[in-house]
Amino acid sequence: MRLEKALYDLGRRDRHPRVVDGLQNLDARALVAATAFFILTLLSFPKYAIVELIPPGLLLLILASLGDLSASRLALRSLPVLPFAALLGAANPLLDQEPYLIFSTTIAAGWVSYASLLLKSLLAAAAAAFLVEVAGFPGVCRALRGLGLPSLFVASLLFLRRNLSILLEEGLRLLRTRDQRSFGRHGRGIGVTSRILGVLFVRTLDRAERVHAAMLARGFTGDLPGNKPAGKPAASWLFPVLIAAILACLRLVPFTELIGGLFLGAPP
Amino acid sequence: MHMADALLSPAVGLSFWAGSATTLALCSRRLRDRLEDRALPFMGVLGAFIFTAQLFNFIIPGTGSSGHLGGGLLLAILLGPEAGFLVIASVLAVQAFLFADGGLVALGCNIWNLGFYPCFIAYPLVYKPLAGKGEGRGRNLLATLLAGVLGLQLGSISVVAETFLSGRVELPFATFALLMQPIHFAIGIVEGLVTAGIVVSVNALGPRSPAKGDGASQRPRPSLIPIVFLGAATILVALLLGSLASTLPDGLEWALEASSPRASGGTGPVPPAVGLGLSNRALAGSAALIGATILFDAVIKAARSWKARRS
Repeated sequence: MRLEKALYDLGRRDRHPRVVDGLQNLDARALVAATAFFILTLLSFPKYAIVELIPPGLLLLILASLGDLSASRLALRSLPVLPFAALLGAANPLLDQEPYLIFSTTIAAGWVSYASLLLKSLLAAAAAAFLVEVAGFPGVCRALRGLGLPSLFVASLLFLRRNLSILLEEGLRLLRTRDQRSFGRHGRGIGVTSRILGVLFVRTLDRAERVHAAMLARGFTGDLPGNKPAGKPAASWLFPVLIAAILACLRLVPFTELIGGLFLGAPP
Repeated sequence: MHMADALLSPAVGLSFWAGSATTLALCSRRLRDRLEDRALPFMGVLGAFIFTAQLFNFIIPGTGSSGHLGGGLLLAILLGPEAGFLVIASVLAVQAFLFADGGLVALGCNIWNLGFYPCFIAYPLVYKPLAGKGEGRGRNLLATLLAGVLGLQLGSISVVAETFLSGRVELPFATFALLMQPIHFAIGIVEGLVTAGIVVSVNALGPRSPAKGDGASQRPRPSLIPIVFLGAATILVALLLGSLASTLPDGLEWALEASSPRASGGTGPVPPAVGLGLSNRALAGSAALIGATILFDAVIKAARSWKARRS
């Protein structure tokens, strides 16, 4: 069931690319550039930044809302990035004992830098998830090629993605075959499993070669055909410029302080 | 061993991106004329296998930790170092884009850590001289074991160095290295054993396998030294430029410092008794912005459902 779900999830992203109002018309290169600006700006915030990260996070949520993407979906897709960051930052609260005042309580500043680390991890991964949801994986590959990455690397990315589906399909077939021909522990030992893996490799390679031969027969030359932008070029390049300008403002201006000052009054 | 974006400073992330991109470009250029037609699907299938293998973690006895295969050495042995590097880079890119495993800025570091060391250090310097032409299972096993361990040791110390240079976590260099190296020594042994087993199986495919030592055509193989030198030099130059630039605050940092209430007289929201803190104004401002975003989202959803009902 897990394999079937993985295969379904993998295919769904290509079968049903997100229809995003306005954004789907943009050149994927513009989306990649905007995502890169977003993540680099995020990483440039100081290590104790917490409230400063909220406006960029909200910007991402607004874009997601415009694109009919749910925040929970983006958050779920971002979770795999957390364990390594959580592990490495776990020592921050112990090693950084500088006092930090929050709600009239003083805590170790390490807790704040730890929270900031996790928040940055989530937001950066959510931005990457947003990019793939909007542009689709083939769109991202096309954008990478358009931005100058080598054709062989981009072809390798696309082949890997295609062969992953083939591998999962063949793996499912072999698992069903094994289930129908085994009972209890019989037919499920390490010897059978290693032979199944060998057969899986050969069958996947067979299908991959047939797919490649069909591509060659249809004129595939090793590069993506046509790298023309999908939408209006001016609008496409306005988007990353606009996002970069907003991000620069959010990084430069203590935005939350200013808004809060409207409610609580300016500092004396 | 996948780095996450938040663990890196922009300077370190971009430096390793520059090094990995340079190495990718050099590898692609070399392979363009040398790669056989049949090698592309083989590369794709091997990449898919490595991708799947990396999803399965194995327990490392006695450490309470787990690890997964790197796959760089296996790819270098079966496809040659350049094609191996290209495939491991693709695997890591698909993981970053589709599964949020590692980040987009951290992708450069991950490609370098899991691809460069096994393909351009462990394979040519340890595996090739020890394994020779592949005769003798014992010799092959020893070569893959040593190369697997070396590749992962270099990759894990590279993770420690990148984290240390970025300064985002408080772990001291020596403590972090002492935590990372022994675990990756154990993972390296498993990687070596599994790699040896798979190499024997794939070579048993005989003439079907395009993996004949170097995976490309039988023309003499050019030296790997330019790739290693240019890749490493790009990172060093980028890091040097980054460190020179960071000795002074950049424009954004300077403006932020200048505009912060603390810098302009100490009468700001942070009490003078404590150096760091959250101001009430910042919290109120954040709450207002979050409220406004929720409202915006609700309006967009309402407009969308109204539009759907009308059509």
